Amino acid sequence: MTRLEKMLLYVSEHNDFYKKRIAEYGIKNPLDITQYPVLTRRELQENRYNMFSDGYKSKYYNQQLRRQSSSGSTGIPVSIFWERDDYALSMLPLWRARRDLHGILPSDKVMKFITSDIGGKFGGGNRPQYYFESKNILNVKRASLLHEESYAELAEMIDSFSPRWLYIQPSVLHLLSLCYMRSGKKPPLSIKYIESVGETLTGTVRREALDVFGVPVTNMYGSEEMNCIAYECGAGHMHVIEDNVFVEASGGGAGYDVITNLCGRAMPLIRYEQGDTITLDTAEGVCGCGLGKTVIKSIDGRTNEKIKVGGYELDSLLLTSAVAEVNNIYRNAISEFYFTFSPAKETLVCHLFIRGDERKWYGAIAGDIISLLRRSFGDLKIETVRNTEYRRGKGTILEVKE
Amino acid sequence: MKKDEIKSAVAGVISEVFAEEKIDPGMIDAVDLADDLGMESITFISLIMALETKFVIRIPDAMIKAENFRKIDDIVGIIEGELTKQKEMLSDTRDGSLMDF
Repeated sequence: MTRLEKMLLYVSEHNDFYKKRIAEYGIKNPLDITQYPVLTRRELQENRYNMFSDGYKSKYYNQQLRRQSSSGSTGIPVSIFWERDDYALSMLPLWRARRDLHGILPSDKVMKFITSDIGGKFGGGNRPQYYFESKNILNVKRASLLHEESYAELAEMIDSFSPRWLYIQPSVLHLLSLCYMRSGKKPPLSIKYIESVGETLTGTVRREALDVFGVPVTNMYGSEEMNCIAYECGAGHMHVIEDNVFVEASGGGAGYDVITNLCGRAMPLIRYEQGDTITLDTAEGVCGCGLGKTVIKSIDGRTNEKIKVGGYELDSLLLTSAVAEVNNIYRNAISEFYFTFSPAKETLVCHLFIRGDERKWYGAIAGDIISLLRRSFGDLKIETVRNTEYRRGKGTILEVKE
Repeated sequence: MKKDEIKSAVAGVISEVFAEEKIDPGMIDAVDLADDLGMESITFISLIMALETKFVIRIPDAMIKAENFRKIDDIVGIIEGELTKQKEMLSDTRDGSLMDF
Protein backbone atom coordinates (compact mmCIF):
# COMPACT_ATOMS: atom_id res chain seq x y z
CA MET A 1 0.00 0.00 0.00
CA THR A 2 1.40 3.43 -0.88
CA ARG A 3 1.72 6.25 1.65
CA LEU A 4 -1.20 7.97 -0.03
CA GLU A 5 -3.40 4.89 0.23
CA LYS A 6 -2.44 4.46 3.89
CA MET A 7 -3.53 8.04 4.63
CA LEU A 8 -6.79 7.61 2.70
CA LEU A 9 -7.49 4.35 4.51
CA TYR A 10 -6.78 6.08 7.81
CA VAL A 11 -9.21 8.96 7.20
CA SER A 12 -11.91 6.62 5.91
CA GLU A 13 -11.72 4.68 9.17
CA HIS A 14 -10.79 7.29 11.79
CA ASN A 15 -12.00 10.72 10.72
CA ASP A 16 -15.69 11.67 10.88
CA PHE A 17 -15.28 14.71 8.60
CA TYR A 18 -13.90 12.53 5.80
CA LYS A 19 -16.28 9.65 6.49
CA LYS A 20 -19.10 12.12 5.98
CA ARG A 21 -17.47 13.41 2.82
CA ILE A 22 -17.07 9.87 1.50
CA ALA A 23 -20.78 9.26 2.06
CA GLU A 24 -21.93 12.66 0.71
CA TYR A 25 -19.90 12.43 -2.46
CA GLY A 26 -20.68 8.77 -3.03
CA ILE A 27 -17.03 7.77 -2.99
CA LYS A 28 -17.00 4.08 -3.88
CA ASN A 29 -13.28 3.48 -3.40
CA PRO A 30 -11.87 5.48 -0.47
CA LEU A 31 -8.33 4.59 -1.59
CA ASP A 32 -8.78 6.43 -4.90
CA ILE A 33 -7.71 10.06 -4.36
CA THR A 34 -9.41 11.23 -7.55
CA GLN A 35 -12.83 10.50 -6.07
CA TYR A 36 -12.36 12.98 -3.22
CA PRO A 37 -13.58 16.56 -3.61
CA VAL A 38 -11.13 19.43 -3.26
CA LEU A 39 -10.96 20.93 0.24
CA THR A 40 -11.00 24.74 0.08
CA ARG A 41 -9.43 27.10 2.57
CA ARG A 42 -12.88 28.38 3.49
CA GLU A 43 -14.05 24.80 4.23
CA LEU A 44 -10.97 24.22 6.36
CA GLN A 45 -11.67 27.38 8.31
CA GLU A 46 -15.37 26.61 8.80
CA ASN A 47 -14.75 23.00 9.85
CA ARG A 48 -11.63 23.52 11.90
CA TYR A 49 -13.12 21.91 15.01
CA ASN A 50 -14.80 19.08 13.08
CA MET A 51 -11.76 17.79 11.28
CA PHE A 52 -9.94 16.11 14.15
CA SER A 53 -9.42 12.38 13.76
CA ASP A 54 -10.56 9.99 16.48
CA GLY A 55 -8.91 10.73 19.81
CA TYR A 56 -7.32 14.00 18.75
CA LYS A 57 -9.97 16.46 19.86
CA SER A 58 -9.19 15.67 23.50
CA LYS A 59 -5.49 16.15 22.75
CA TYR A 60 -6.39 19.53 21.25
CA TYR A 61 -8.24 20.55 24.40
CA ASN A 62 -5.32 19.31 26.52
CA GLN A 63 -2.92 21.40 24.37
CA GLN A 64 -0.98 18.33 23.37
CA LEU A 65 -1.00 19.20 19.67
CA ARG A 66 1.29 21.53 17.78
CA ARG A 67 -0.46 24.42 16.03
CA GLN A 68 0.61 26.04 12.78
CA SER A 69 -1.26 29.06 11.47
CA SER A 70 -1.40 30.69 8.10
CA SER A 71 -3.13 33.54 6.36
CA GLY A 72 -1.27 32.98 3.13
CA SER A 73 -1.96 35.22 0.21
CA THR A 74 -5.74 34.82 0.40
CA GLY A 75 -6.51 36.71 3.60
CA ILE A 76 -8.32 33.69 5.05
CA PRO A 77 -6.57 32.65 8.29
CA VAL A 78 -6.44 28.93 9.05
CA SER A 79 -4.85 26.83 11.78
CA ILE A 80 -3.64 23.25 11.45
CA PHE A 81 -2.93 20.95 14.37
CA TRP A 82 -0.28 18.25 14.41
CA GLU A 83 0.53 15.30 16.61
CA ARG A 84 4.16 16.00 17.52
CA ASP A 85 5.41 12.67 16.14
CA ASP A 86 3.63 13.29 12.83
CA TYR A 87 5.15 16.77 12.67
CA ALA A 88 8.61 15.22 13.05
CA LEU A 89 7.77 12.67 10.33
CA SER A 90 6.60 15.51 8.07
CA MET A 91 9.77 17.58 8.62
CA LEU A 92 12.30 14.76 8.36
CA PRO A 93 12.33 14.53 4.53
CA LEU A 94 13.25 18.22 4.30
CA TRP A 95 15.98 17.85 6.90
CA ARG A 96 17.36 14.80 5.14
CA ALA A 97 17.47 16.76 1.85
CA ARG A 98 19.22 19.67 3.57
CA ARG A 99 21.76 17.25 5.08
CA ASP A 100 22.33 15.15 1.97
CA LEU A 101 22.60 18.04 -0.51
CA HIS A 102 24.15 20.77 1.63
CA GLY A 103 25.46 19.23 4.86
CA ILE A 104 22.99 21.29 6.95
CA LEU A 105 21.92 19.77 10.28
CA PRO A 106 19.29 20.80 12.86
CA SER A 107 22.14 21.68 15.25
CA ASP A 108 23.60 24.28 12.86
CA LYS A 109 23.20 27.96 13.67
CA VAL A 110 20.39 29.53 11.67
CA MET A 111 18.83 32.95 11.37
CA LYS A 112 15.16 32.60 10.49
CA PHE A 113 12.89 35.36 9.26
CA ILE A 114 9.48 34.87 10.78
CA THR A 115 6.37 36.41 9.28
CA SER A 116 4.04 36.22 12.27
CA ASP A 117 4.55 36.69 15.97
CA ILE A 118 2.27 33.99 17.33
CA GLY A 119 2.80 34.01 21.08
CA GLY A 120 4.07 37.59 21.25
CA LYS A 121 7.70 36.57 21.63
CA PHE A 122 9.16 39.47 19.69
CA GLY A 123 7.99 42.45 21.71
CA GLY A 124 7.57 45.90 20.18
CA GLY A 125 9.54 48.89 19.00
CA ASN A 126 10.81 50.28 15.76
CA ARG A 127 14.11 48.39 15.62
CA PRO A 128 14.58 44.90 14.20
CA GLN A 129 12.90 42.55 16.65
CA TYR A 130 14.29 39.14 17.39
CA TYR A 131 14.46 36.38 19.97
CA PHE A 132 16.51 33.25 20.50
CA GLU A 133 14.38 30.16 20.06
CA SER A 134 17.45 28.24 21.24
CA LYS A 135 21.18 28.88 21.39
CA ASN A 136 21.42 28.08 17.68
CA ILE A 137 18.16 29.51 16.31
CA LEU A 138 17.79 33.28 16.06
CA ASN A 139 14.33 34.35 14.88
CA VAL A 140 13.96 37.81 13.36
CA LYS A 141 10.55 39.36 12.89
CA ARG A 142 10.37 40.07 9.20
CA ALA A 143 7.74 42.77 9.73
CA SER A 144 10.14 44.76 11.94
CA LEU A 145 12.51 45.40 9.02
CA LEU A 146 10.96 48.66 7.91
CA HIS A 147 13.76 50.97 6.80
CA GLU A 148 17.19 50.94 5.26
CA GLU A 149 18.60 51.39 8.78
CA SER A 150 16.86 48.16 9.80
CA TYR A 151 18.95 46.24 7.28
CA ALA A 152 22.17 47.86 8.43
CA GLU A 153 21.33 46.75 11.97
CA LEU A 154 20.38 43.31 10.64
CA ALA A 155 23.79 43.02 8.97
CA GLU A 156 25.41 43.71 12.34
CA MET A 157 23.26 41.03 13.97
CA ILE A 158 24.31 38.55 11.30
CA ASP A 159 27.95 39.44 11.89
CA SER A 160 27.59 38.98 15.62
CA PHE A 161 25.59 35.73 15.46
CA SER A 162 27.53 34.23 12.52
CA PRO A 163 24.89 31.74 11.41
CA ARG A 164 25.70 28.80 9.17
CA TRP A 165 22.53 29.34 7.19
CA LEU A 166 19.67 31.73 6.55
CA TYR A 167 15.97 30.84 6.25
CA ILE A 168 14.73 33.91 4.44
CA GLN A 169 12.13 35.41 2.14
CA PRO A 170 13.40 36.64 -1.26
CA SER A 171 12.18 40.18 -0.58
CA VAL A 172 14.25 40.32 2.61
CA LEU A 173 17.24 38.66 0.95
CA HIS A 174 17.10 41.24 -1.85
CA LEU A 175 17.17 44.20 0.55
CA LEU A 176 19.84 42.55 2.70
CA SER A 177 22.02 41.94 -0.37
CA LEU A 178 21.56 45.58 -1.45
CA CYS A 179 22.54 46.71 2.04
CA TYR A 180 25.79 44.75 1.86
CA MET A 181 26.50 45.98 -1.67
CA ARG A 182 25.95 49.63 -0.74
CA SER A 183 27.97 49.46 2.46
CA GLY A 184 30.81 47.46 0.93
CA LYS A 185 30.76 45.20 4.00
CA LYS A 186 31.09 41.46 3.61
CA PRO A 187 28.79 38.98 5.37
CA PRO A 188 30.44 36.44 7.69
CA LEU A 189 32.11 33.47 6.04
CA SER A 190 30.14 31.24 8.41
CA ILE A 191 27.15 31.38 6.03
CA LYS A 192 27.25 28.28 3.85
CA TYR A 193 23.62 27.89 2.82
CA ILE A 194 20.64 30.14 2.09
CA GLU A 195 17.13 28.73 1.88
CA SER A 196 14.55 30.90 0.14
CA VAL A 197 11.00 30.52 1.43
CA GLY A 198 7.55 32.04 1.27
CA GLU A 199 7.72 34.00 -1.98
CA THR A 200 8.64 33.55 -5.62
CA LEU A 201 12.43 33.54 -5.97
CA THR A 202 13.64 35.50 -8.99
CA GLY A 203 16.85 35.19 -10.93
CA THR A 204 17.82 38.71 -9.87
CA VAL A 205 17.62 37.88 -6.16
CA ARG A 206 19.60 34.68 -6.73
CA ARG A 207 22.38 36.53 -8.56
CA GLU A 208 22.55 39.30 -5.99
CA ALA A 209 22.79 36.77 -3.14
CA LEU A 210 25.45 34.75 -4.93
CA ASP A 211 27.52 37.91 -5.49
CA VAL A 212 27.19 39.04 -1.87
CA PHE A 213 27.21 35.77 0.09
CA GLY A 214 29.16 33.56 -2.27
CA VAL A 215 26.69 30.71 -1.78
CA PRO A 216 23.84 29.64 -4.07
CA VAL A 217 20.27 30.12 -2.89
CA THR A 218 18.15 26.97 -2.55
CA ASN A 219 14.43 27.34 -3.10
CA MET A 220 12.02 25.62 -0.73
CA TYR A 221 8.31 25.65 -1.50
CA GLY A 222 6.17 24.93 1.51
CA SER A 223 3.34 26.15 3.67
CA GLU A 224 2.25 26.24 7.28
CA GLU A 225 -0.47 23.73 6.37
CA MET A 226 1.83 21.21 4.67
CA ASN A 227 5.45 21.95 5.76
CA CYS A 228 7.79 21.22 2.83
CA ILE A 229 6.05 20.63 -0.50
CA ALA A 230 9.01 20.83 -2.88
CA TYR A 231 12.78 21.36 -2.62
CA GLU A 232 15.30 22.50 -5.15
CA CYS A 233 18.01 20.04 -6.11
CA GLY A 234 21.52 20.97 -7.20
CA ALA A 235 20.38 21.09 -10.81
CA GLY A 236 17.69 23.65 -10.03
CA HIS A 237 14.64 21.36 -10.23
CA MET A 238 11.88 21.68 -7.61
CA HIS A 239 11.21 18.10 -6.56
CA VAL A 240 8.00 17.27 -4.73
CA ILE A 241 8.86 15.81 -1.33
CA GLU A 242 6.89 12.63 -1.83
CA ASP A 243 7.48 11.29 1.69
CA ASN A 244 5.46 14.27 2.96
CA VAL A 245 2.90 15.26 0.33
CA PHE A 246 1.02 14.12 -2.75
CA VAL A 247 0.63 16.99 -5.21
CA GLU A 248 -1.87 17.43 -8.03
CA ALA A 249 -2.64 20.39 -10.28
CA SER A 250 -6.33 21.23 -10.68
CA GLY A 251 -6.14 21.18 -14.46
CA GLY A 252 -4.11 17.98 -14.77
CA GLY A 253 -0.57 19.15 -15.50
CA ALA A 254 -1.14 22.78 -14.57
CA GLY A 255 -3.55 24.70 -12.36
CA TYR A 256 -4.16 25.38 -8.68
CA ASP A 257 -2.11 23.10 -6.49
CA VAL A 258 -4.18 20.48 -4.71
CA ILE A 259 -2.17 18.83 -1.99
CA THR A 260 -2.65 15.85 0.32
CA ASN A 261 -0.46 15.61 3.37
CA LEU A 262 0.77 12.08 3.98
CA CYS A 263 1.86 12.50 7.61
CA GLY A 264 -0.67 14.59 9.54
CA ARG A 265 -3.26 12.36 11.20
CA ALA A 266 -4.61 14.76 13.83
CA MET A 267 -6.16 17.06 11.20
CA PRO A 268 -5.69 15.39 7.82
CA LEU A 269 -5.68 17.55 4.70
CA ILE A 270 -6.90 15.57 1.70
CA ARG A 271 -6.86 17.38 -1.66
CA TYR A 272 -6.41 20.75 -0.03
CA GLU A 273 -6.37 23.69 -2.42
CA GLN A 274 -3.21 25.49 -1.33
CA GLY A 275 -3.97 28.53 -3.50
CA ASP A 276 -0.89 28.72 -5.74
CA THR A 277 -0.80 28.00 -9.46
CA ILE A 278 1.69 25.32 -10.46
CA THR A 279 2.84 23.26 -13.41
CA LEU A 280 3.85 19.67 -12.71
CA ASP A 281 6.14 17.39 -14.64
CA THR A 282 7.79 14.05 -14.17
CA ALA A 283 11.44 14.03 -13.16
CA GLU A 284 12.06 11.12 -15.52
CA GLY A 285 14.23 12.36 -18.34
CA VAL A 286 14.45 15.74 -16.60
CA CYS A 287 16.50 15.07 -13.46
CA GLY A 288 18.14 11.94 -12.14
CA CYS A 289 19.15 13.30 -8.72
CA GLY A 290 16.77 10.91 -6.93
CA LEU A 291 15.14 13.59 -4.76
CA GLY A 292 11.63 12.87 -6.06
CA LYS A 293 9.82 11.57 -9.12
CA THR A 294 7.66 14.66 -9.68
CA VAL A 295 8.95 18.18 -10.26
CA ILE A 296 7.14 21.48 -10.07
CA LYS A 297 8.16 23.41 -13.16
CA SER A 298 6.61 26.69 -12.09
CA ILE A 299 4.93 28.17 -9.03
CA ASP A 300 2.89 31.34 -9.23
CA GLY A 301 1.09 33.08 -6.42
CA ARG A 302 3.50 34.13 -3.74
CA THR A 303 4.50 37.67 -4.51
CA ASN A 304 4.81 40.28 -1.85
CA GLU A 305 2.70 43.23 -2.96
CA LYS A 306 4.31 46.53 -2.00
CA ILE A 307 3.27 50.17 -2.02
CA LYS A 308 5.58 53.07 -1.16
CA VAL A 309 3.91 55.61 1.08
CA GLY A 310 5.97 58.56 2.21
CA GLY A 311 9.02 57.13 3.92
CA TYR A 312 7.44 53.74 4.44
CA GLU A 313 6.92 50.69 2.35
CA LEU A 314 3.63 48.90 2.90
CA ASP A 315 3.97 45.28 2.02
CA SER A 316 1.43 42.50 2.21
CA LEU A 317 3.61 40.25 4.38
CA LEU A 318 3.97 42.94 7.01
CA LEU A 319 0.25 43.68 7.03
CA THR A 320 -0.64 39.97 7.08
CA SER A 321 1.61 39.35 10.06
CA ALA A 322 -0.03 42.16 12.04
CA VAL A 323 -3.48 40.68 11.47
CA ALA A 324 -2.21 37.18 12.27
CA GLU A 325 -0.82 38.33 15.63
CA VAL A 326 -4.12 39.89 16.65
CA ASN A 327 -6.12 36.95 15.27
CA ASN A 328 -4.12 34.63 17.47
CA ILE A 329 -5.04 36.65 20.56
CA TYR A 330 -8.73 36.62 19.65
CA ARG A 331 -8.80 32.88 18.89
CA ASN A 332 -9.16 33.11 15.12
CA ALA A 333 -12.13 35.46 15.23
CA ILE A 334 -11.10 36.96 11.88
CA SER A 335 -12.46 34.90 9.00
CA GLU A 336 -11.11 37.01 6.19
CA PHE A 337 -9.18 40.25 5.74
CA TYR A 338 -7.54 42.43 3.15
CA PHE A 339 -6.18 45.95 2.93
CA THR A 340 -6.83 48.83 0.58
CA PHE A 341 -4.83 52.00 0.32
CA SER A 342 -6.23 55.27 -0.97
CA PRO A 343 -3.45 57.52 -2.27
CA ALA A 344 -5.86 60.48 -2.47
CA LYS A 345 -6.84 60.15 1.18
CA GLU A 346 -3.46 58.71 2.21
CA THR A 347 -5.37 56.20 4.26
CA LEU A 348 -4.77 52.51 4.78
CA VAL A 349 -7.98 50.59 5.39
CA CYS A 350 -8.10 47.12 6.91
CA HIS A 351 -11.23 45.24 5.88
CA LEU A 352 -12.23 42.59 8.39
CA PHE A 353 -14.81 39.83 8.31
CA ILE A 354 -15.35 38.63 11.87
CA ARG A 355 -16.97 35.27 12.62
CA GLY A 356 -20.60 35.59 13.68
CA ASP A 357 -20.18 34.48 17.27
CA GLU A 358 -17.15 36.76 17.76
CA ARG A 359 -18.53 40.00 16.28
CA LYS A 360 -18.70 41.60 19.69
CA TRP A 361 -14.90 41.70 19.60
CA TYR A 362 -14.71 43.79 16.43
CA GLY A 363 -13.91 47.04 18.26
CA ALA A 364 -11.14 45.47 20.32
CA ILE A 365 -9.70 43.61 17.32
CA ALA A 366 -9.74 46.75 15.19
CA GLY A 367 -8.05 48.75 17.95
CA ASP A 368 -5.30 46.18 18.38
CA ILE A 369 -4.60 45.96 14.64
CA ILE A 370 -4.38 49.75 14.34
CA SER A 371 -2.17 49.91 17.42
CA LEU A 372 0.18 47.26 16.02
CA LEU A 373 0.41 48.93 12.63
CA ARG A 374 1.02 52.34 14.22
CA ARG A 375 4.29 50.99 15.63
CA SER A 376 5.44 50.50 12.08
CA PHE A 377 3.68 53.35 10.29
CA GLY A 378 3.37 56.09 12.91
CA ASP A 379 1.84 58.97 10.98
CA LEU A 380 -0.12 57.05 8.39
CA LYS A 381 -3.92 57.22 8.63
CA ILE A 382 -5.18 53.73 9.39
CA GLU A 383 -8.82 52.69 9.61
CA THR A 384 -10.74 49.46 9.79
CA VAL A 385 -13.99 48.47 8.18
CA ARG A 386 -16.18 45.58 9.18
CA ASN A 387 -17.13 43.64 6.07
CA THR A 388 -20.40 41.80 5.94
CA GLU A 389 -19.62 39.77 2.86
CA TYR A 390 -16.78 37.39 2.15
CA ARG A 391 -14.51 38.04 -0.81
CA ARG A 392 -13.87 34.27 -0.75
CA GLY A 393 -10.14 34.76 -1.15
CA LYS A 394 -10.44 36.66 -4.42
CA GLY A 395 -8.14 39.61 -5.05
CA THR A 396 -4.87 40.41 -3.34
CA ILE A 397 -4.08 41.21 0.29
CA LEU A 398 -3.13 44.79 -0.55
CA GLU A 399 -4.88 46.85 -3.20
CA VAL A 400 -4.71 50.46 -4.23
CA LYS A 401 -8.11 52.09 -4.49
CA GLU A 402 -8.17 55.50 -6.17
CA MET B 1 29.08 -3.49 15.58
CA LYS B 2 28.79 -4.84 19.11
CA LYS B 3 26.03 -3.73 21.46
CA ASP B 4 28.34 -1.92 23.84
CA GLU B 5 29.93 -0.08 20.91
CA ILE B 6 26.49 0.94 19.68
CA LYS B 7 25.53 2.09 23.17
CA SER B 8 28.70 4.13 23.52
CA ALA B 9 28.07 5.78 20.14
CA VAL B 10 24.42 6.47 20.99
CA ALA B 11 25.49 8.02 24.30
CA GLY B 12 27.84 10.27 22.37
CA VAL B 13 25.05 11.35 20.03
CA ILE B 14 22.72 12.08 22.94
CA SER B 15 25.41 14.14 24.67
CA GLU B 16 25.95 16.17 21.50
CA VAL B 17 22.28 16.77 20.77
CA PHE B 18 21.57 17.71 24.37
CA ALA B 19 24.93 19.44 24.91
CA GLU B 20 23.38 22.27 26.91
CA GLU B 21 22.04 19.80 29.49
CA LYS B 22 25.57 18.55 30.36
CA ILE B 23 24.47 14.99 31.00
CA ASP B 24 26.47 13.06 33.57
CA PRO B 25 27.74 10.00 31.62
CA GLY B 26 27.17 7.86 34.71
CA MET B 27 23.48 8.76 34.66
CA ILE B 28 22.80 8.19 30.97
CA ASP B 29 21.01 4.89 31.57
CA ALA B 30 18.51 6.53 33.88
CA VAL B 31 17.88 9.68 31.84
CA ASP B 32 14.50 10.11 30.18
CA LEU B 33 15.06 12.39 27.19
CA ALA B 34 11.50 13.74 27.31
CA ASP B 35 10.88 14.08 31.04
CA ASP B 36 14.41 14.97 32.16
CA LEU B 37 15.80 16.81 29.14
CA GLY B 38 12.63 18.31 27.71
CA MET B 39 12.97 16.72 24.25
CA GLU B 40 10.70 18.69 21.88
CA SER B 41 10.03 18.53 18.14
CA ILE B 42 13.28 20.11 16.97
CA THR B 43 15.48 18.16 19.42
CA PHE B 44 13.65 14.97 18.47
CA ILE B 45 14.33 15.68 14.80
CA SER B 46 17.95 16.55 15.66
CA LEU B 47 18.32 13.24 17.49
CA ILE B 48 16.88 11.21 14.59
CA MET B 49 19.12 13.00 12.08
CA ALA B 50 22.21 12.58 14.28
CA LEU B 51 21.55 8.86 14.76
CA GLU B 52 20.95 8.32 11.03
CA THR B 53 24.14 10.19 10.18
CA LYS B 54 26.23 8.42 12.83
CA PHE B 55 25.13 4.89 11.93
CA VAL B 56 24.46 5.47 8.20
CA ILE B 57 20.94 4.12 8.45
CA ARG B 58 17.45 5.40 7.80
CA ILE B 59 15.11 4.94 10.72
CA PRO B 60 11.76 3.63 9.42
CA ASP B 61 8.72 5.89 9.63
CA ALA B 62 6.92 3.43 11.89
CA MET B 63 9.65 3.89 14.51
CA ILE B 64 9.56 7.72 14.40
CA LYS B 65 7.75 8.21 17.69
CA ALA B 66 9.21 10.25 20.53
CA GLU B 67 8.08 7.51 22.91
CA ASN B 68 10.60 5.10 21.29
CA PHE B 69 13.48 7.49 21.88
CA ARG B 70 13.18 8.37 25.55
CA LYS B 71 15.69 5.95 27.04
CA ILE B 72 19.11 5.02 25.75
CA ASP B 73 18.48 1.26 25.87
CA ASP B 74 15.38 1.67 23.68
CA ILE B 75 17.38 3.70 21.18
CA VAL B 76 20.16 1.12 21.18
CA GLY B 77 17.55 -1.56 20.45
CA ILE B 78 16.27 0.36 17.43
CA ILE B 79 19.76 1.01 16.07
CA GLU B 80 20.77 -2.61 16.59
CA GLY B 81 17.65 -3.72 14.73
CA GLU B 82 18.33 -1.45 11.77
CA LEU B 83 22.00 -2.39 11.57
CA THR B 84 21.05 -6.07 11.61
CA LYS B 85 18.51 -5.53 8.82
CA GLN B 86 21.12 -3.63 6.84
CA LYS B 87 23.65 -6.44 7.30
CA GLU B 88 21.08 -9.02 6.19
CA MET B 89 20.21 -6.99 3.08
CA LEU B 90 23.87 -6.63 2.19
CA SER B 91 24.50 -10.32 2.59
CA ASP B 92 21.37 -11.22 0.62
CA THR B 93 22.81 -10.34 -2.81
CA ARG B 94 21.66 -13.28 -4.89
CA ASP B 95 22.41 -11.56 -8.15
CA GLY B 96 25.71 -10.18 -6.84
CA SER B 97 24.62 -6.55 -7.13
CA LEU B 98 24.80 -4.01 -4.28
CA MET B 99 21.51 -3.05 -2.64
CA ASP B 100 20.48 0.63 -2.67
CA PHE B 101 19.64 2.31 0.61
